[in-house]
Amino acid sequence: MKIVKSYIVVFFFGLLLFIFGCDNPAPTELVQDNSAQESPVQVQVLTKDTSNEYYSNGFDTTGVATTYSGTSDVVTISGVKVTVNNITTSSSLAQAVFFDKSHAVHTSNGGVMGYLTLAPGIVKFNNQRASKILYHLRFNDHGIHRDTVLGYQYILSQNSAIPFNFDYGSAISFQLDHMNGGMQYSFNIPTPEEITGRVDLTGKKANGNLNALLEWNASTLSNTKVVEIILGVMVKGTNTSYPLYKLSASDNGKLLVPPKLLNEIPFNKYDRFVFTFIRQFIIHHNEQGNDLTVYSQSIHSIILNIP
Amino acid sequence: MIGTVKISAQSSFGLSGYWTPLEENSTLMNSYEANPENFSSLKDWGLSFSYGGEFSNTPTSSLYLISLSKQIGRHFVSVRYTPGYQKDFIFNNGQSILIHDSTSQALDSKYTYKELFGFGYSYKFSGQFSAGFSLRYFKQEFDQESVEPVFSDTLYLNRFSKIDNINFWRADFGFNYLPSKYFSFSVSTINLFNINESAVDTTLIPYEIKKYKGVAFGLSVSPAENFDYNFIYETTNALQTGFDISFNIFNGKARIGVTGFHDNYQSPFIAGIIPAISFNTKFLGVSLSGVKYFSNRNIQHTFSEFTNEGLDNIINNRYSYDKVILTFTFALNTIAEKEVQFLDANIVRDIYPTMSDNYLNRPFATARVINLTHRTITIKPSSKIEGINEDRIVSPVVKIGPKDTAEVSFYTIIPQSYDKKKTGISFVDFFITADNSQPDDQIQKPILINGINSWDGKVINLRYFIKRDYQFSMDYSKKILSRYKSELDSMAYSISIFYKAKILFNNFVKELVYSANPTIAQDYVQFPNETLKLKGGNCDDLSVLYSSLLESVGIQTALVDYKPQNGIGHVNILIDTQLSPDQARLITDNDSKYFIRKNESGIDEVWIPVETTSLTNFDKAWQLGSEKFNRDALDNLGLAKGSVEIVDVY
Repeated sequence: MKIVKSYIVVFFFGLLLFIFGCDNPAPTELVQDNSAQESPVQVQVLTKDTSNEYYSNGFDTTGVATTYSGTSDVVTISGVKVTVNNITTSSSLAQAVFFDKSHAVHTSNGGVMGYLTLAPGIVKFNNQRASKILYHLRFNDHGIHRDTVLGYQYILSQNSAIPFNFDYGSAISFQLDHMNGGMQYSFNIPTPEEITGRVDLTGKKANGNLNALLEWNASTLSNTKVVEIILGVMVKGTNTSYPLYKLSASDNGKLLVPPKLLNEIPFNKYDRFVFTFIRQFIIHHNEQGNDLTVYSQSIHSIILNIP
Repeated sequence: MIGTVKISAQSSFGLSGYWTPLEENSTLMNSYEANPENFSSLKDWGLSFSYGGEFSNTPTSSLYLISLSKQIGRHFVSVRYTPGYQKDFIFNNGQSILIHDSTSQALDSKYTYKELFGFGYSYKFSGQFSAGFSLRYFKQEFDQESVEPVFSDTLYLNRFSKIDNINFWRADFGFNYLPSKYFSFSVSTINLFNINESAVDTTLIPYEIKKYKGVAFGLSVSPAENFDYNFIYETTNALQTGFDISFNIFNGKARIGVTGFHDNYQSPFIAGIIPAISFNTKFLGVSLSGVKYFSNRNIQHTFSEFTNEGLDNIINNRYSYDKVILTFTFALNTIAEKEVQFLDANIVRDIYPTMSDNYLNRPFATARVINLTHRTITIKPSSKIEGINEDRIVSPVVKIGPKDTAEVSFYTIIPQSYDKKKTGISFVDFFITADNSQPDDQIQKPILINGINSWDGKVINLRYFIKRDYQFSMDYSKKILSRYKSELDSMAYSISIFYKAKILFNNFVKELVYSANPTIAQDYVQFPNETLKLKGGNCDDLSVLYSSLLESVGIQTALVDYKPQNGIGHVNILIDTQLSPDQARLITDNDSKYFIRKNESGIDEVWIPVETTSLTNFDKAWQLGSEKFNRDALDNLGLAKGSVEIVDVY
């Protein structure tokens, strides 16, 4: 019996030792090889203040593609398609803004909102001269809506009079002729493959089970690896849209929007989704000491009623 | 190569390997994997735990298992808690959020698969056949980090964990058949029943544990002493095979074994082995086992591989690492190991309660028993007759050689207080005990218990109805003799015995009539008080009565058994007058009316035969008794031939 008691003591002592001296079995780390059913996606909030109806960065009238870095001049060329009620309209747009870095525009608390712009000369895209128009900047300055003009910008848009056409998978020439015999430079801007998106929107907002499966024509070239999709909403009864999130995904043709991003939207204010598919090149130039950022993008926006 | 191999491991894979059920082996009780039918040779309580480590890139140690089991008669139940039966997968789920326009934060997921606990039950229908089932609870936890937008004053993304649990029960059934100690066979199901919680998020369904249904067939043979070959095959085209060798050492048994495992999808053909070594004593068992895979386990796996292949076994899968397992078992045996066993038991004599002394020196039952051990043991037989014994009555011990059989005898004691007149069937429990405090084996048999008046027809056993200290007889005799006190006191002591016998006879015969019942071999014998109360009896009853009255006042008697001639037997008595042969003339001049016989002290004395059925007077009875004795016992040589026998009452 004495031996038995000894065994019991040893047994329970050992048991306690093991219970408190243990790890969980080693986990296995799996390498994400991007071939899962759902595409990898990066999410970024675009409009932080959705109550501000007066926000616009001003330098991209498509309003969807770029965020101002504040360090360089900007050239944007876009092939734009908009699908509403299954009817798609296409247009082409080119734009150039040149900032005067010595004249910053400040908010009331001293933050830099932008810079005054310059109109250095003549801007041409595919040898078509761009128009010089006023450059508006709208923003909310501590509750006060401000709408100001910072200078000029250059815009060339396709219309019956101007045969400017965004050739997908090709190139568009850019040319700047400074006035008064100043500097002059030109270069070709490559254009991405055309993107055509499709949205399979299921579920109901009332049930909180909205799902959006996004599909697009995957790139056949290796020069674009990422597609950006802007998920926006439109205010009820208006044509005012807000880009909410930017989703960055592999350009493999498929993406399931994280459902929470859809279902948490306050639908009492919005009645339509705007899904904007963007295939984009961003090219950085330095021309004669000036930094120039070029955005070349194919854009397809799809507007859908929220079920 | 391994990256393309689909590993769908055995359902029967156990961390300690696959061991034979042919010999007692405590490791089996741990494994619902190799033993879903919950077979065990454990005698009582069992407690065990397994602790081990994995040789992953970062070695870890875990408590794999704690189990508790209990044998209750033919039932065997066990429970186990398996905290180490867990497999975690962590990976970037492909989503990330961009904060402050530049900082990217990846969102991770963790899929956890656990077998939390299990329950087993089996029933031993016989020493050869048992069947049972096991019930196991699995937990699957899918923890996926995700983002949700928060619309307040500003819109921002909140990072949160979304946890889905899809838990399930698994039930399997099986049986074990052990027709001999050299061969065993088992059949068990694989995923017979699965009770699943349904997945809310249907995208997780591919990541649930696969539940292939099938059947596993197990076989163990022992072609040589201390050597077992074990084989188990699953219809999912998986198998395990191995052997174990055992030898006695340090008052215990050491075993060395190795199990190789294979399934249809693995490469090489034997995907790995489980070497094991164990040492078991009566109370404690220790085993050390390992799992060694023949393919490199510390390689990177991709999420798509995991998605495509899935998981069907938590402790053995393509992601499992080599392991080493230390298992302690503790047999809390309040029931000792059986060392001896009954082969059969027979009642050799019915119980006649009045003849109690008979059972002290003559067995009422015998049994054949076998020594199950490899050593000589001393066994202690005992018995308990329902309705007679309150405790077990221990019979003499018997020594039996190793693996030998022996016949043991059972004796009993019938208490003086037993007074049931009715004959009936009862039961007797026989026990045999070796070195243990508890019996090793027991068996029950029916037994006939006669009433206290029952007699087996043997005159020699009539003496049990005659008791020198029988209170009734003492009172009755003294009462009568006291009436003749003055006469008796006035005569010489030497002759007073004769006259006491005469007085007693002449008095009680006045109250009686004779009723013959000579043809019944197994008779009903009345006690003295009953004979007087009923005012009659046959030769047995009257001899018992007269003898009892005489014995109660110190007069020695003997029964004369005239054995049945033509089916009719008779009994009367002899009275020791305590007269020496020279004094015989004091009572008679006829030397045919007495004869010389030694008393209980071996001294020659004058004995006179008395026919108790002659209910007239003493002289007549003496006369008749003498005539019959002379004729049957002496003249016809009855004593010499054995047809007449004198039975001393004491």
